[in-house]
Amino acid sequence: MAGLFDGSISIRFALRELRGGIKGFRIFLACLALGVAAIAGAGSLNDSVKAGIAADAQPLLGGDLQARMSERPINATEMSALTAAGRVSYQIQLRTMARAEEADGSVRQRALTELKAVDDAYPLYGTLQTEPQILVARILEQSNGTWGTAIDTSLANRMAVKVGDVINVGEARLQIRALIVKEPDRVVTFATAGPRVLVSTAAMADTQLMQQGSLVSHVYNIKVDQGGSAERLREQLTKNFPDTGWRMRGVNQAAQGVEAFLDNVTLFLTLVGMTALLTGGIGVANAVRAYMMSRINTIATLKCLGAPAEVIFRMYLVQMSILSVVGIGMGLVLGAIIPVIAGQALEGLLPVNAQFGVYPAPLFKALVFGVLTAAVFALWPLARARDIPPIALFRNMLAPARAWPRRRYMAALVVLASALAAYTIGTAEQPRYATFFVVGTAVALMLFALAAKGVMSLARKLSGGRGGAVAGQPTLRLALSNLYRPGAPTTSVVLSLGLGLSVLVSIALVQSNLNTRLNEGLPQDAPSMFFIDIQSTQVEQFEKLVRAVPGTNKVTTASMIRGRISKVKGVEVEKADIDPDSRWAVRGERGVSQASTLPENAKLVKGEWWPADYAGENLVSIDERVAEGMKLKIGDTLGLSILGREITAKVANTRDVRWQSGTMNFTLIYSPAALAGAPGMYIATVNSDVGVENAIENAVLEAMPNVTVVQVRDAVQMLKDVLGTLSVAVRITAAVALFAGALVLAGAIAAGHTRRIYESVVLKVLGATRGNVLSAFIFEYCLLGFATGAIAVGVGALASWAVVVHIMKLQWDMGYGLAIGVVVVCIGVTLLAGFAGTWRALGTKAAPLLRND
Amino acid sequence: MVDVRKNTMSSNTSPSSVIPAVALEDVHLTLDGPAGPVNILRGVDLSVPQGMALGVVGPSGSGKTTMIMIVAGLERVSKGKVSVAGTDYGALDEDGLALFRRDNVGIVFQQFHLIPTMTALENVAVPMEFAGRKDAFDRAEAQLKRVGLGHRMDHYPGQLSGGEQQRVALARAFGVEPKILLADEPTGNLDGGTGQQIIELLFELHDHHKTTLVLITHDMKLAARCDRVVRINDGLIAGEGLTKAAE
Repeated sequence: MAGLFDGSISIRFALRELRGGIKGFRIFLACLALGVAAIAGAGSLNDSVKAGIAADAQPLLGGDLQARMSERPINATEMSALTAAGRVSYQIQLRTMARAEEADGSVRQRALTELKAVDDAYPLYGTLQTEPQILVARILEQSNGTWGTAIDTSLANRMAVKVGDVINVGEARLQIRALIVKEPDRVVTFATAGPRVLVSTAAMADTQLMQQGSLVSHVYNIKVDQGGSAERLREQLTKNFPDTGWRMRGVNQAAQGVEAFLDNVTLFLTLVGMTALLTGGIGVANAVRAYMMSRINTIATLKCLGAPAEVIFRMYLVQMSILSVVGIGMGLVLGAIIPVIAGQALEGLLPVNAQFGVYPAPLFKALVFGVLTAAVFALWPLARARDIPPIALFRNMLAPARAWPRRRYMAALVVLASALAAYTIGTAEQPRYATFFVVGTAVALMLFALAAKGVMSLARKLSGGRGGAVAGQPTLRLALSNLYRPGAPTTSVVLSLGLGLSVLVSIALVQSNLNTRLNEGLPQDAPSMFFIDIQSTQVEQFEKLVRAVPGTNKVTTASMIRGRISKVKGVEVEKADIDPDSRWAVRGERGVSQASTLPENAKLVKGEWWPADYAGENLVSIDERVAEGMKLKIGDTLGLSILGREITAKVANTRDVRWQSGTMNFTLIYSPAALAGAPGMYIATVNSDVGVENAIENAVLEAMPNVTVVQVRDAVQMLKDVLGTLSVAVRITAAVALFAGALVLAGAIAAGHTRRIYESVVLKVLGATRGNVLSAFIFEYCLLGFATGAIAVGVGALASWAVVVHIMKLQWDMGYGLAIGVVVVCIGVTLLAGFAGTWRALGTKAAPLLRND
Repeated sequence: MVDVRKNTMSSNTSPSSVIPAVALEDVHLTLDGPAGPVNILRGVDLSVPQGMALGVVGPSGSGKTTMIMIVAGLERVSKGKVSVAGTDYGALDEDGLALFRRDNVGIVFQQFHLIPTMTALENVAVPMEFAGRKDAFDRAEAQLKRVGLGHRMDHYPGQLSGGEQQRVALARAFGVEPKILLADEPTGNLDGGTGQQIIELLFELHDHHKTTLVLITHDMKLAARCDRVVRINDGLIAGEGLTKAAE
């Protein structure tokens, strides 16, 4: 029978069947549309922001090329190499305290700020927008002996100052001449420590903040002359000045931090979208299965009339393909619109100007995800329907004769599922995380399926007829049997609602653990204040000043020198074999210290500490986890580059560094003589009673305006605020997956509507009161909701434990309140969805249903 | 053979000291249809003495099933009075009717109406469990054995043939030892041979339990096996009479 015309017959029959409308496919369409829209929306948003960054790359970077130095400015030779290539703008950046003083000289307000000193060439690209709008040179120039400044509005508000007022930074008095509206080369991220204070480079000498070892960055932005190439300049500079130690950035790295953050956000959103799509896939499978069950008579009749199984399969495949195209199309339209709508809401919140529009690449990606998902989930029920025998017409069949599809369909299913997994990993910016997601989801789905089987088998055992736990309780038995009967929604509800819910549980648990650690994790001996930029000549006075304030319990100081790990066991770090988890230690410069004795709070893991009077070859003590990541053993060498000078030291020991203790810690601590002569400064921690922090801060900063202070309580609060904002956004996003689960739940319950009405009527005929029927439904939904919630809590807790313990390296606690809350909410949602679908069943009149038709 | 003569012998004409199993007085039922009100029953009077087997015949759409639904308490009358086993339905609410049904009425349908998610044994035990009988499962087992399904007790309805399902339905209906058994074309969905077996079983159980039986059928031969037959036409009792079986 299979011939040339089979295809057209299948299509003709498919279209004929679809004339009945798509009423039964609302959940099918909603599930596909939601998942596709989430993925398309996330991708489009990412592309919109990236397009915005690309369009503003030069203003954002501040030039065509940027060279950045730590601690020291470049020398004349290096500078002339830059000026030969184009116009150069020089900036100095550092964190420092700004003060607002009363007329009598007493300090009224202090704030941690990001100071940026610029030269006359600033900005090379873009415009500094200020209120009032004045030329940069006019704002920053010295007038009547006072330098000018432009500051962020937020700083002006915090310090209660306005244009015309004077603030103090270091030893300099600065008159506020304008408030900053938009700085062309500033990308505000979560890592931004404070508001901006903009001054002239010429004013820096008066601040006296540029001390040896101070945490200062010197930035050189270059606008390459016409005909020149920034890329070529970069190559030349790297080649001609190999030891300068400058870090270069081109326009494609203009907003590196933002792009990395954006990629992480997009990955998260895409994975949530994938979860929603997979959850929706279960809804798709349910809808197709329910539809095929409703078509048993049609299929059997067609087979009786001579239609081959393959034609039947193709006919319904065509129908499902048409419906999938509609659902995916809806999702794509929605996904393309989302960023435009979101753009209105995000205006001003994004660190860069996004260019909202329709981006084909993310839409195509979402399309492929949609097609693969629809195919994976629709194939099984379609393939099973193919095998419905003609005899089904004459029997009251509950399911097709074959439980499993034929081998070729199983093979196709495996290929499609693998393609979906491969596409997920292949298109992700971070394939490693995508792989975790794919494997994690597969494991979670398996766990859910197993758990659902467990629930069903337990229900079967409990309800089992005579002698069963519920003998004499027909309503309870009905509830239990509805959980395991053929075609019961248990598996699909547990899978779909459970998947979304477990994502939410794991996110909530990770967040609550972070919060707990932030609230209680700081041990009693954690310091309350950090001080940086203390000059070696100020250390003694600093300690004296702090100790003089009543309530001060402990002062700890340590020297800190900035250096970059350059070689591991003699191999350049770029080529060294370092685990991804430890790569952070070799990225950029780190603060290293030197000590003669083992610092308190440190615990030796391997090797031995050097004697207090040690003066031999260079030794270094290293964080055990970093040493492991670098595969360093005792006796191996480590190269550290300080201002272009390389210091090689032997690993003497490894320490267990408790970063979460909040006390002063260093990844690398050198033997005292190793860093002799290197320019450094001191940092200090102070333990004090609550409430005396401001007194200590005032005492220190009045005497030493160059010192910068961070109050731990403020920093922790800031971190909490950021986490709070993030967690709300993350939870809202995760709710998309949960919404998909709720859709599937609604679909699964709606599919059982007719059956429930029937059951309700038969029970009433047999003498059940409305109360009996109602309690059967309540039992069923409570059991289903409880089982789903409990399993989701289990899986979510497992995932959050893995993240908290293995990725964040923190202690993990189970949030029992949260767990109970989730289970209760899950029961509530299931009951609600159940009643929305079955309330009518309770009041249904028996007679019309029982008449012989 | 059946001899149905209009009003020759009204079943409510001979007063009895015993309360009738079923008593319908001037029963009307009017339902709202798409084209306006439809008069399904237009004043039915009927009295069925306890223990009697009453056959109900009539063309399709005449109101037979509606009458049986009213007797079962599944349909409320628009006008008139319904008493079953001496209980006035007018005084009972929906739940009251359900409880009454549980203790007094068994029903067998043409389409069996078993609960598909329960085994044969559980289906039979359900009404007895609702009645709070501790021996529900023992009795259910006995009933199933009695209808010849001792070997099918753990099967689901979907795994049983039509005849077997109807036998389960019979076992379920008789399990609570109802005072009245209502059967709506119980063989309509079965082949001749199987149907005959079911009928034999039905009458055997009726004889055994001394249950009042109201049987709707199109089959005049089957109706003839009852003690009395009423013919319904266009919502009214068009005739009734004793059968030879009753003589």
